[in-house]
Amino acid sequence: IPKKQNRKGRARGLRTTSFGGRFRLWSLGLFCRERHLARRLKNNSFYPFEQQQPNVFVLEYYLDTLWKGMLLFIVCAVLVSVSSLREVKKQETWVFPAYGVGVGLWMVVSSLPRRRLVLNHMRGVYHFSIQGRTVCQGPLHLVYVRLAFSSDAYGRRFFQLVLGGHRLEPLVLVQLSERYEQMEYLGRYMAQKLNINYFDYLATSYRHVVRHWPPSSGGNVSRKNLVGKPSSSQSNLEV
Amino acid sequence: MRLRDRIATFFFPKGMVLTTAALMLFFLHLGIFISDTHNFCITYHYDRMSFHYTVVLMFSQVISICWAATGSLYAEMTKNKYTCCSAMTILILNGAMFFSRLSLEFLAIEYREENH
Repeated sequence: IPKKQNRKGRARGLRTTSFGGRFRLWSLGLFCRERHLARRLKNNSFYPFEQQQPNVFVLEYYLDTLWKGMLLFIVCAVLVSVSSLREVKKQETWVFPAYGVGVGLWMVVSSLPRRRLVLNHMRGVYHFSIQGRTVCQGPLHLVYVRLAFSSDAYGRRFFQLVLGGHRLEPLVLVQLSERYEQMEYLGRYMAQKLNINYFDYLATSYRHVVRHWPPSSGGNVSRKNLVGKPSSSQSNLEV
Repeated sequence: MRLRDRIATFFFPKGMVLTTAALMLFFLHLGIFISDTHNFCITYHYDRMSFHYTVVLMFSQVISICWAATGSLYAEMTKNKYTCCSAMTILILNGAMFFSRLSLEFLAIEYREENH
């Protein structure tokens, strides 16, 4: 029976998500990125998800490596076919763009399958699948919105707003921005609307908003573990 | 996630793809190296060696070492002993390939040097 329900839900999801909606994570705005996100949140307060039923949120998307791979593929294919660049000083050089063609092709092929992330608050689980095949499924405390921190050589501080989770691909919602307060406000607002955890960029901070605790919450130990999780080295590198 | 699903959706852990690509490149370089050594030491057809591809070969070897290194970094983070070991082996193989290629190039240069 659950399988049937699942399929029904999927069919409904296909109807509700518009075609253009799957590409909306590609355009994060060039200038004033927070304002871009704020405008989108105004139109759809559950952005980037769509509300399927009350308390069930669905996000369907294609990775942005799709267009990057396509661009690389096309540029390199053109370079391979230009005859004047094939040989320089008796050294064959057409292999360089041939490598680019291969890499671009792999990027396109690996990001063509459609991703689908469902936050189901009715059952308290999230479900991540690619082209209808389940990648992972787990309790909601493993999904979170967080700020990622990075700084440049001049000591300027930049923040990214990232939707992440256990075995999910981190989705960048706002690219590098210097305005901490606005970013924090947006992140908290989104986490509140989606009813998931929000984490600050520091490992220990008073600004975390934890809505879902791990089930075996035995006090301080698990609290520490959970707080430490999003800023572990792996998630830092992935973003 | 089962392996069949992974192959169907092209969804692998990030490091694994890089390590596999480095392994493929290693086999390619090994093939070229063997044919070069064969031509240099046994058949003496020096014009059939890969002198026209020296620049490309160097680039490709460096790229494959970089990919193998990144892949082994990702493998270290998974803390799976088996993946760590295989990624490290592929990195070492790529490094060894680079140095053997280098020595062959030096041999060829020494041979082609004109002494009057």
